[in-house]
Amino acid sequence: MDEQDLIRLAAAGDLEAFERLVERKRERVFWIACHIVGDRELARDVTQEVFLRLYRVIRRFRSGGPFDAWLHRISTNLSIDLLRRERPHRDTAALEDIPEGSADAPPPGRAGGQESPAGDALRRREIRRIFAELASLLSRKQRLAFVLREIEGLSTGEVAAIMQTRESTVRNHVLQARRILQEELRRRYPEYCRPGRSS
Amino acid sequence: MRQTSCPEVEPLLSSFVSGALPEAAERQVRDHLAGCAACRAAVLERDPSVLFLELRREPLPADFWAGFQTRLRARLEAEGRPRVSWLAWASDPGFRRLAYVAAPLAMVLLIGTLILVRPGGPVPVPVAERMPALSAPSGPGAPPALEEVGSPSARVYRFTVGPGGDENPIYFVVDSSIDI
Repeated sequence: MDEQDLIRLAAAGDLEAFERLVERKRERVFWIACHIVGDRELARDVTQEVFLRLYRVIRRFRSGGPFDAWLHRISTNLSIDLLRRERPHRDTAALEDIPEGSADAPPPGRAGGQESPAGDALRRREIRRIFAELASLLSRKQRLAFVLREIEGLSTGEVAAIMQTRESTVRNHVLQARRILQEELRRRYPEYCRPGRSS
Repeated sequence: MRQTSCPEVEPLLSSFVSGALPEAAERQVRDHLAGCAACRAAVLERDPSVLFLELRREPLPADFWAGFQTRLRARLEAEGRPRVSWLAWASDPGFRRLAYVAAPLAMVLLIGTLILVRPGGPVPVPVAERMPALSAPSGPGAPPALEEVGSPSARVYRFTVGPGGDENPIYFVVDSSIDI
């Protein structure tokens, strides 16, 4: 069934159509939440809350409008709300509050040969931990723009629609975020900045 | 978006790092780097932030979504059908288009009704105007002409006074419902 038809039926109260819409959209919603809150279980909870919120308000959606931007805005807002509840007085962390690296983390690519799936998972978990740590140094908008455009791969236009801002502003946020992340990676995790060690 | 190969991406990496690529090309390079460890490694020293492209869509366990739809359905059914508020109606574009047409039409109908239909029923036509033309008045001493005027209890008598050519009609109304 065409996505617009699903949306129209779901907006009219068809629960089955709504569930099929959920199946189509949940991956992207989940990953946006995961990159913001930094935890898969929490992100899955946020995903369910997003679709509950959507169910309550989908009747207001104007047919033919940017549904994905609307949905992803709900996802980012709920994720940020959760993040604020977890760290109520801190949108960004001060540098001195960030623990210096993880002494127990395995250096990337030390095994030298092909990484095992378990090794891949461990490495990815470490990179996610590093991202959560360094992303706390970004402003909320810089973090959001970087997550949506760089990690999730959305276009600048799509990100601007979600953040309800101009494309030039999104590009600026991403530029600033990349600059800060580059500096901090070189300073704190230089081993991840060398080729052959991080792939 | 078409997947780009390493030979296609490699010449673009320097421009990617310096931010000199147009949006579409930059996105293609970034998408390629997200899935290609070799090209990512080639860029890493110049732009370490590409490290985080590795986080894009990492594989989830096979049972990660197990029970998700069931739990969601249970919560949706517990919520019940969302109530439609007036605001939701008012924000619906179809309703608003209808309102733009119906509102002026309703105003025209209302104003027209107020102008044409006054409260209290139709304006009573004076008795004299409703009376059919009478035959020539009778002469002096003749009994007055009698006409009924629609009220079952009223009688109207008409006299004429004055000399010929200058008569004035006098209407004498007798209504038993009038209690003086």
